[in-house]
Amino acid sequence: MLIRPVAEDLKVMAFYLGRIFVVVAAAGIAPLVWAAAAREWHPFSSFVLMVGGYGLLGAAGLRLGGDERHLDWSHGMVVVALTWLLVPAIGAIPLALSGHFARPLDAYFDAVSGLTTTGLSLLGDVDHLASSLNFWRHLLQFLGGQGIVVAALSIFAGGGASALYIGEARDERILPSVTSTARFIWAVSAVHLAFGVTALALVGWLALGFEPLRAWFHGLMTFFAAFDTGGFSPQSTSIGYYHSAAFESVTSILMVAGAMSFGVHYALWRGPRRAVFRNLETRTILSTFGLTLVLTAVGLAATGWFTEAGSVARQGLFHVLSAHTGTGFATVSSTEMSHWGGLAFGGIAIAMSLGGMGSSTAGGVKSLRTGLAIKTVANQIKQVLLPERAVVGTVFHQSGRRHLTPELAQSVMVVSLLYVALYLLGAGVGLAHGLSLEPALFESVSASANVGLSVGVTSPGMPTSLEVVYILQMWAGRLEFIAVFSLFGFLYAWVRGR
Amino acid sequence: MTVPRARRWLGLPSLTGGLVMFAVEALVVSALAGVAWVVAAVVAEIL
Repeated sequence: MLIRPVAEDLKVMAFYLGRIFVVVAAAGIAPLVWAAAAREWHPFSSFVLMVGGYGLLGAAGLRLGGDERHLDWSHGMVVVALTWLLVPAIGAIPLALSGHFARPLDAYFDAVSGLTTTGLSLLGDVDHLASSLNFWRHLLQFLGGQGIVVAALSIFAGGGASALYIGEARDERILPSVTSTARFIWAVSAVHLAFGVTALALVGWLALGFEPLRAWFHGLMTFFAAFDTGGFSPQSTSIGYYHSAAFESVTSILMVAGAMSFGVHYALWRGPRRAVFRNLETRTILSTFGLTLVLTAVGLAATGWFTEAGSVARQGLFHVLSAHTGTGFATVSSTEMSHWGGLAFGGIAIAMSLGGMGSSTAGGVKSLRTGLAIKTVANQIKQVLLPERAVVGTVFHQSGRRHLTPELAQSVMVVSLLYVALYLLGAGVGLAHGLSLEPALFESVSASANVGLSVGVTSPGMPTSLEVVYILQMWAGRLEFIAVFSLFGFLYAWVRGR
Repeated sequence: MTVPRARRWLGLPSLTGGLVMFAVEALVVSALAGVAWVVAAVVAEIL
């Protein structure tokens, strides 16, 4: 029997939601200032509306919530699940008013896609979008990738820090407190921002001949999308627009950095560095990078899409990294990718489904789960093959020696299976809409694993029901289910509880 | 706030460590580029 929530429960949640909205309202001032500086007055007025909306909701939440109280586990999960649905609803206002979307739902789709760092887009004519709106789309990815909650936690400590942090699919506490961990995450991101934007802007300026301001703009937008594994681009042809191996190389480094857990960043920065390469998670992601790369490169070479080995290597590597890190950048059109087929298609799809490291900005099953799932299956097989009395080793290395307990194995297998179920569910809905299996599965995996590569299914005018399913897949995939189930449980308890 | 205090507040130990972090990230991409190039060259040779 579930206990019906009382007014006190709602007050606690309203207080923390209010805090988060205040932080997002503050972030919304950045595109507002940008629009004023660029004299883009139509977007400026829509940003005023948006910041006002966030501010009003924030003030209402804090007023309703009263004083700060301890946030328990279930409340924290519901707050996070609601945050990731409501923040894009207000954030979609400037996009919906831009005239670049056929309907408000399409603008909401893009806002959810940005915040969940997916990168699928229904935006029409991105090449002529106002720069401030482009900045806001990319900033949404940065906010989502860093974690809105992490942003709030780095400013306010509080009784509910741990529940909120874990609700946002981050379970790794690098430093002694959640607040100091959140600050470290922002510091690492700031260092990457300085390095990434400078490197990309220099390539744009010196190698591609862009004006310095334009080079900086493209560098900044590409950094947000690469490091936060988002995949939006200020150009409709994505990274293919630049036709530059140097630009692709810097972008690739940023994508890999974005898919690394902040624990690995910390270990590489502070040491012990060798231990990073003993971790099961690192070994798994390096192996799956290699395996999916081999599959894709063989597929591309065999189909003859690219005649030179250098082109196969360049295209294969960039798209595998883009897929595996959950970024979603492309250097070829979605139509061309839909024709790759065979091993190349399989390699990219597998890379998308596996995703990056835990507690990173990437989506998908995540490397540690993949490694542990393989270890669990291998142990099961060993137990069957070995004599009854034989003891199968359960130790693995992940920031020290750990044991693969039955509880851990069960949790890993459950979440992995939920991802597979989510991939298949979306594919099933795609099939019901008349798509063939390959594009239906590819697009479903891309949405659920927050990747953003597309074979053309996600486009303006797509069926509403499929669009809604992809929105839910992006949301559930980003939060790794627990917060989503908590919200459903909360709503059920509200209706049927006693 | 002084620079060392700001660094402690943010949990960043040293700038050299930051350079090592970037070097490792670049090394991973370079190694994978090598793998991709070898595979592509071998398949092209076979075909």
